[in-house]
This record gives sequence, C-alpha cells and structure tokens, in this order.
Amino acid sequence: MQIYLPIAEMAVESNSIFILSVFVGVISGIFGVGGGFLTTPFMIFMGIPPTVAVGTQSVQLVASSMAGSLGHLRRGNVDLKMGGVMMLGGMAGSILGILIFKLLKYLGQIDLTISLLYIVLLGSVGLLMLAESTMNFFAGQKTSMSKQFNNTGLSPWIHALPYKMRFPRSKLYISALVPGGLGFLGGLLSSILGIGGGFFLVPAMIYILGMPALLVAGTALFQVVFTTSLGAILHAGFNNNVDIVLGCILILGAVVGAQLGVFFARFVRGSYARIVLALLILSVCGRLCFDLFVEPQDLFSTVWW
Amino acid sequence: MRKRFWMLPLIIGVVCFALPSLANEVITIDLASDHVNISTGFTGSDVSVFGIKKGHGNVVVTLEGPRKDNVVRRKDRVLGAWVNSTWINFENVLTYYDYAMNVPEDKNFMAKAQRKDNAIGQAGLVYSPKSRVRDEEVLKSFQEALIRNKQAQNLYPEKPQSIVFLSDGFFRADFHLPSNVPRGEYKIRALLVSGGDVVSEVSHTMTVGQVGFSAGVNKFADKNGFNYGFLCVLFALFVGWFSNVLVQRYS
Repeated sequence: MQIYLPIAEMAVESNSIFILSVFVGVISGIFGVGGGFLTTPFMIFMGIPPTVAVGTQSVQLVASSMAGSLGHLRRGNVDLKMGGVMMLGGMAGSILGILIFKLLKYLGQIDLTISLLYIVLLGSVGLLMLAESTMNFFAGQKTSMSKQFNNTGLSPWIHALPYKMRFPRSKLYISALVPGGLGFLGGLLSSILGIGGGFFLVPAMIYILGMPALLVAGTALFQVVFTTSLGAILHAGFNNNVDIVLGCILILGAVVGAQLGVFFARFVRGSYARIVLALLILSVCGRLCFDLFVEPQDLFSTVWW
Repeated sequence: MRKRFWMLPLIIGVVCFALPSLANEVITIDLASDHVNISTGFTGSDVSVFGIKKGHGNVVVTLEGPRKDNVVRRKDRVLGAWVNSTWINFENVLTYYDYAMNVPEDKNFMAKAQRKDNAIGQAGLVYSPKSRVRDEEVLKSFQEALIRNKQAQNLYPEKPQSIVFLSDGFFRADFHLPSNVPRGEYKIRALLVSGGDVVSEVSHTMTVGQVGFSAGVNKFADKNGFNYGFLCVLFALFVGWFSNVLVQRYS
C-alpha cells in the first residue's frame, strides 16, 4: 500500500517499510541490540532521504529504549546516578551533533558523512563479530572476548582525572568526566547516525568504566531514552526531518518484531546466528561502500535551496 | 472521468460567450479543477485543461510549478570515493514543468529564440546562476545536469503531452502529476502560435497542496518544529511504556 509521507513529501510502499522494521525488530529481540544501525541504511537503500531516515529513526529509538529500560528498571538493573551523569554528557553530545548535522547539510556533505560513518561503524562491528563468533564456532568453547578482556584494570590516566564521584550502585569511585564523556560520544553519534549507541556504550562501560555487567545494558538504555528524546526534538526543530507517519510504521514494526525476536531466541543457536548477523552487517557495509566508490550514473545532483 | 464531462457545457458556455468580442486569433482555457489535494493516500493526480481556440495556429499548453532556487553539485573523486565538490546555485528554477502541443515535438513551428522567450519545451528553459560563472563550458554542463536531474526525478517529463481536439476549435490537454509533485501555486499557460509568433496567450493558476492530516502535520512541523518534535517524542514514550505494560501482562 502506498502511503504519503508529509515531511519527506513523497509516497512510499508502507508494507515494505513495515516488513523491514519487523525484521530489524526480530534481530534486536534475538540479539538484544538496538537495530538502528540496520534500519537507517535500509531506509536509505529504499530511497528515503538520509536526513529524514536519521531524524525519524531517533523517534523510533525513543519508543524502543523506553520499553527496554522500563523492564530493566523494574528488575533494578539500572544505576540511576551513573545513567544521570551519562545523560548530561549525552545531551551535550546531541546538541553538538545536531549542529554538525545542520552545518554538513548546508555544505552538501551530510549524505557522504552518514555513509562514511556507517561504513566505519558497520565494517568494524561486523568484522569483530565475525572473528569472535567464527573462533567460538570452531573452538567450540563458550569463552567470548569479553571474558578474556574482563581482567583489564582501569588505565592510570583515568584515575588521575578530576571531579571524582561515588557511584554506590556500581561500587565505583571515578571521575564524572569518564561516564559523561562516553555519554557525550554516544549522543554525538546518535544524533548524526540515528542509532542508540548501545553497540559501543555497552563494551565501553564494561572495559573503561569497569561497571558490573548486570547493570550495563539497563543503564545504557536508560540514558539513551533521554539522549534520543532530546535528539528527536532538536532534529524536528532545526532540520525538520522527523516524519511521524514514517515513525509510526517503524515503531509499530519494531514493537511487533522485538516480541517475535524474543520468542525466536529460544530456538536459535547463539554462535551460528551471530555469524549470520555479522555477515548481514558486512553486506550492508559492502553495499554502502559500493554506492560510495563506484562511479555514479550521474555525477551531478540537485537540491532545493 | 464523469466529473470532467459535466464541466463541458459550462466551459463551452463561458468560452462561447466571451469569444465574439475579441480579436481574430484567440485562445481561452479552463481547468476541470483548480486544486490538487495531497492526502495520506496520494499517489499522483491527473490534471485536465479544456480550451477553445479561434483562428489558425498551433496550441501549446504549459504547466509550471512555483519557482525556487536550486543548487546543483558535481561529484569528484577524492581518495577513491565520489564526493560533492563544485556547486552552482541557480535562481528561480521551476519546481515542476510539463507541456503539451498539438503537433509532434520535432516539428519546428517556431524559432528557437521565441521558445526561450516563452519557456516552451525544455530547450526553452534556461536558468541563470546566482553569481557569475566565468567558464561557459562548466556553466553549460551544470545547466544540462539540472534539467537531466529534474527529468530523472519525474519533475520535468521528457516527452510533451498531446493535445486532443474534441471538435473544431475545442481541445483538451491531459497532464499527470507524480506523487513527489512539489507543493505551491502552479501556473497553466495556453499559447496560440501562428506564423512563428505567439498571437494569443492566456494563463490560469492551480494550487497543489497537502490536505487533512498530512497538511496539518506538515504545517505544524514547519511552523513549530520544536513543539512538533516534543509531541512526537511524547507519543513514542507512550508507545514504549504501553508495549512494556502489555508484555508484562501477557508473558
């Protein structure tokens, strides 16, 4: 069914967008990842302007991180103080990210920036995942990289940073600049790429902050709610690229898909599925590379000013 | 289809009444509807123009969208990747352009200069840059690219539409607007061309705009971006909360 998007000012095939968001929702349900890093490139492949894809995706992230963090809050898996400090950094990062976004849009380099950042992001995450899961697959052992790295202590320079704070829930005494800085980076990436940032926040919180693994996912999701909320409002205000009709399809698909994913997760073999996900991520990365490095049909492009 | 035909007697009546007092070569037109409404289910729309010509000559009908500035960018190879580099900003570019003629396109019934003056056909559309461009060759390649891109976006249909004569001087021109048609005030001009000159010209306006929910969202987001974003976020928070409640209850 064709549906007209009031902000993108174009008609799209709503069924294919819905199927896409259910598909990504299933993946996020199985693997516990946000999935924003797949939805945005797929929307770009479908012909939705990259700017609208990023802005609208941030609204979908608000809904899914809200649902996820409520579950974690109920189970008590959120360090509110740590989340709060990260949130402040994340909000600052969002504001800077939106301003960079607006500047790049003016310079005509926003599409290129989105593509390049996604290539770096998907390429590195995909390769790491593929390496780790194939090693596990052939070695047949359950130890993952995270186990091996868990002994790494905090670097001395992190201890030397000022503004130290106590985080009783995580049993940490650490400079507020570290979680704040992580949140800042998360907010920056989130507002430019339309992702939650969990893929890099979660490992960073374990290895750099040294937070207990149990609290990491909930705390990351908790601050993502606020960071993406601010990001979505700023996108709508500064860039006018939030399409609520598209957003509704994405949210609905993600909600349905996530439940299906949680259901399917029981029947899926972990290491095998991770190889498939890694290959999927790498193929999306490959397609983005292809679009960027192969000579386009028309070297010229136009935009209304 | 039926909607068009009840308009006929009305149009014929108006046109015939107006005609006798005018000169030898005259053209008049009217639209079946002067609104194109874009709603949530919009996938494009047909526009029919009816008209009467008196005297000899060929008929040209043009359909022009509102004018806007348009930036054309050229990609160059940087470290293997194709990156936007040079750009030219063109002034007053038609957001949409289509035209219809009662003769085949290749038939040269008027001079090229005349076509340019009257913006007939894509060869008649010449846009000038906002600031002077020294290199003529470069400017020309950008001007061609502008037209080519608009064709690719379905905003400048390549082939002219045809004009059907329903009776001796009574004609109809049919246009089709695609789903990505730009919004705004459109101008529809009818020209009577005789002996290489435009002997009679008449124009009409038509509004293309979003209506209903679509229009409300677009207008609100445009005027009050931050409030709009805030509402979107509230909605998303609510859906997130609600889906969590549902999952808690049923699992």
